[in-house]
Amino acid sequence: MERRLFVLQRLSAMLLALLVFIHLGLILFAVRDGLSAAEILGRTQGNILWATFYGLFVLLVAIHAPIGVRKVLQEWTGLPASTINSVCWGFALLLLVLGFRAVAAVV
Amino acid sequence: MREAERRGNLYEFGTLSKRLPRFARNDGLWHKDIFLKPIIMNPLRNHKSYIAAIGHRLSGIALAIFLPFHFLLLGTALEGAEGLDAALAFTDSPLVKIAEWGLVMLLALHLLFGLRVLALEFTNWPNHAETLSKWVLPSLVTSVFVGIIFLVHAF
Amino acid sequence: MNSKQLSVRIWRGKDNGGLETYQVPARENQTVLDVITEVQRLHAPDLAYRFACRVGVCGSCAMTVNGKPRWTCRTHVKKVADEGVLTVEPLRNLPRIKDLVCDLAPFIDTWQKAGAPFSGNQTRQQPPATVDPNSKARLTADAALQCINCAVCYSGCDVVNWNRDYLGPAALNRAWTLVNDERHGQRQQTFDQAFADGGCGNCHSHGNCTRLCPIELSPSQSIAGLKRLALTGLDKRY
Repeated sequence: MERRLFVLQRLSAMLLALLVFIHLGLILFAVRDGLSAAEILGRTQGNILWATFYGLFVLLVAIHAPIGVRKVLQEWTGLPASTINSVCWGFALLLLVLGFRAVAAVV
Repeated sequence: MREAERRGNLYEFGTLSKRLPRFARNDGLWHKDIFLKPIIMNPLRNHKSYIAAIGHRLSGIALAIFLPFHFLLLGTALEGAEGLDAALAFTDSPLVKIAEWGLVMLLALHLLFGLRVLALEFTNWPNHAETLSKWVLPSLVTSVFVGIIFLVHAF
Repeated sequence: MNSKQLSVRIWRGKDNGGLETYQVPARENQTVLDVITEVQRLHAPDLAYRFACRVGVCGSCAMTVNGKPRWTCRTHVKKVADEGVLTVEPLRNLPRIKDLVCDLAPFIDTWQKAGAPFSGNQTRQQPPATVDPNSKARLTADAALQCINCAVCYSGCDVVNWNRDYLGPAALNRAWTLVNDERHGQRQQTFDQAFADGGCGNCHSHGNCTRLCPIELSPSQSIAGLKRLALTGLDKRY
């Protein structure tokens, strides 16, 4: 299990590195003259490429972040292992649900 | 029994030290109870790899906390562009802008420090740990720079 | 050293002890262990500390010297004294017994948990294995051999400090040598144990182990090797 989580986190990290790079570039590009809903939605709505991009992004983040948070909780809090695992499962689900909802909203 | 002894004995002394987050504690060594000294003066922690590791971790925590809110904000577009515009209006306040600036910076930092971790773990060339410690300062500078670009445009 | 005297602050007592200061003559050539011995002989006959070989072979004299775990027998006072003051404490991350002596049992336990025991895959009737000294596996193992269990890396590791279940650098370094040992009959088991709860997934590459190792091994590199295997799977060639 530990090994699987480790591999999942590092593999997602490798992909996320690329996605975050694009995301950061887009942030800097998009805020040039302020953010507006029309601008954001104009870029994303009906665009299958962005939909895939953000869908993948959400999925990877929902894998990557909870595994990292789990280690932090294990090391920096004295919480029992079962509590930590439940919290992280919950966090993963929260990210998945809210993330896909957001993707659905903007495409 | 041995296991119980082992876990029971946390060897963390001092009073203030116990209240510090674990990464800032000094583990019962003599520099205990002097705030900040455990981080800056602890000879086991005042090196670039530690700065990178802690920076990576703290930025990760901040991003994890921020993400659900980011998704919620974008989710407001479910109610059409008006919903998203209303939400974006909220992000116009300077305070939120500052927070966003911080997060953009942290995202860049987490990315750059994360690349370092991947290189440390999955590549193998002579002295790579030493060489990669040179990656730490440029990462910090680059992240601040990215943050500044964002801030200049955002206002 | 300009001053004739050297101030040595030594941890006395167990967990709730404190530092006591002793004055000893500052000499041109003295190791930290020499100084502790001098304090014990002349000032504090009840001072508890460990040593055996005095020449960096046995690994029993490791203590925290001015904040860093070191072999006291191979540490010259000149190199570490901070403005003529030497502070000597027991190793961290280990239960204290008295003064400078720690219980190393939890450290030895980690070795067992990391799958450290060697288990041959041949019987005594078979000829000895011929290991090619230039094979990749042998060279990889070579770089990680010679650890003498002094617990300096274990004591210096922050992840061990945060998470008592973490096996620590020395034990995982040992596991790495076994995983690369073609004579080891349980390579897969050792690898699995090194990656179980508390295993190498916890290492955050702070690099203290490598920085502190008195014989310049690189446990963090060994752990990285195990992590790479986690992606690719164990080499099944032998």
